[in-house]
Amino acid sequence: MTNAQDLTSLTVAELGDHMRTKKVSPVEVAEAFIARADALEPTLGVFVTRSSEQALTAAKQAEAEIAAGDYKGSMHGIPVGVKDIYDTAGVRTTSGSAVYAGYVPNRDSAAVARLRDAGAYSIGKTGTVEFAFDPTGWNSHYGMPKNPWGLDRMPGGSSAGSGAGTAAGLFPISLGTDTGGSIRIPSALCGLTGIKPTFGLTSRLGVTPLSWSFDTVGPMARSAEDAAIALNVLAGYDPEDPGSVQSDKVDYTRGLGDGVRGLRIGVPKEYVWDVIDPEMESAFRKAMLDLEDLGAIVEEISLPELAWVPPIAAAMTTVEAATIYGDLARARGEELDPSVLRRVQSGFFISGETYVQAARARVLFTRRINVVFESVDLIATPTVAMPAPLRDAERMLVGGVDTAVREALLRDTRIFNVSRLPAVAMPTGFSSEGLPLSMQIAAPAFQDALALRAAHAYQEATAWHRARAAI
Amino acid sequence: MPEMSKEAFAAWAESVGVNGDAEHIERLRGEVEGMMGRLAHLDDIDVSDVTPEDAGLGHNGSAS
Repeated sequence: MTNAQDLTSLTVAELGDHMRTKKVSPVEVAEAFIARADALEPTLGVFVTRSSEQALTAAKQAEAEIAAGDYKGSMHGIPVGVKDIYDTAGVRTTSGSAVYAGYVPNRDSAAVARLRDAGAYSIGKTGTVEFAFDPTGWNSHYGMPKNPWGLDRMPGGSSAGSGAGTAAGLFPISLGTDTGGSIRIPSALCGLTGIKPTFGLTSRLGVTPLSWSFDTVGPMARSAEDAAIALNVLAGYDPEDPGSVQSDKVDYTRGLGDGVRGLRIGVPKEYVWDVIDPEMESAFRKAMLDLEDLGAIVEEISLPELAWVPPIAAAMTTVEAATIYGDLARARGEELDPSVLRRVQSGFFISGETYVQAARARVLFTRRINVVFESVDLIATPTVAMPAPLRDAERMLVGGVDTAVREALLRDTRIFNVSRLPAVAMPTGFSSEGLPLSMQIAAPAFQDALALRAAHAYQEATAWHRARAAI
Repeated sequence: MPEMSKEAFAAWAESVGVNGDAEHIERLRGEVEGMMGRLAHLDDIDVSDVTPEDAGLGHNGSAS
């Protein structure tokens, strides 16, 4: 029998295998994670609302189902940290806002419902930036979760609690959302594997919106394999989400082991390297060598239009957020976090002409990146420009460049939000301060499985994703 | 964004429904100025090959 500490360090694939073969029961799994959360939550502040009793009830149900031979798959009996912008029936969903402190949905979001149908359950609602509108993890209402790799470091956001909690072993996997990088940034800063799926692949029904044309739902995990397992449950057309896209049913775990031999991986020569921490770049270059050793063909690509990404993303997401939260900002602005309020209000000053220009430029950028994908199978970049900054940092030197932390966190992840393409963030090592380093691998639209396959191949050959924070 | 005085920005802010104390307005002014500086690069992009319809902004010609 595996002891409680060991259970909380396992992946979903490992836990699922243990439960399927009855080496461990779902109740033991739930109790182990609840006990770890009891011990660490006072330090880390991962949760907005814990659901330990409901989790135990769900675990008992899973135990009965598995005992009766009704095993539903690898997510059966798995506790999940759920970002607090996903509606959860009967459990409050604050969206990180004091305004919604008492909002209790009567229906699960589509993603939570899909996980429940697969036998998984929420172990609690995790901390998020208010309305998911910031990449640092900051929240003045419910607190900023601590990064288990450095308690004085920001966890990244907006899916901050999901990142910190998965990294600390309070749950083995979590739900995040990604509008400009909010899955991949905390995954990078907390040493996780997170996928922003192709826009339209996963349903956003019941998820608090920030930007209709950018918001994406996805998992944050400890391995590419776990992300694939979760994506098998989360992916699928939903007529109730206007952004949902009909696509072929894919088993994201099926081709994971096919390796990268012969795959062409493009590395941009522009933009990414203008603001980059030397250790982040060094780890990325080493990862490319590792992938070459596995048979991939790594080549430089040119995409000068990458410089368009920040203004396109900023114009569109800010205007869309201002459209969604403008009335609230005007009526109850004093109840919002001041920095989030300013960000919403900034959208009031962007003209319609600018928004349309950005929307057209987005199409042009997507065309250009799709042309690049005619000559390569994948594109790789560092996920973020630097390892986790200090919690209160607003500006810092990154590779000798004085830069705003917020912009530095977003600059590389946004590439694949603007183009709506799938991108997987994964650990590539540690800085000299012991902080996780990360890269992202992106694929053409709806080839999420290919990005996961490359990530898995890298993780089969390296051990960075297996490291656990000593907390 | 052309250089704008505190007073002019405050008036603009009020016109779009922004209220708040002077410190809030001043911080907002700084953020808006910074953002507008970044967004100005959008004007350099030739989007003539992209129709509004391509960007999901077209209409079908009917009034309904």
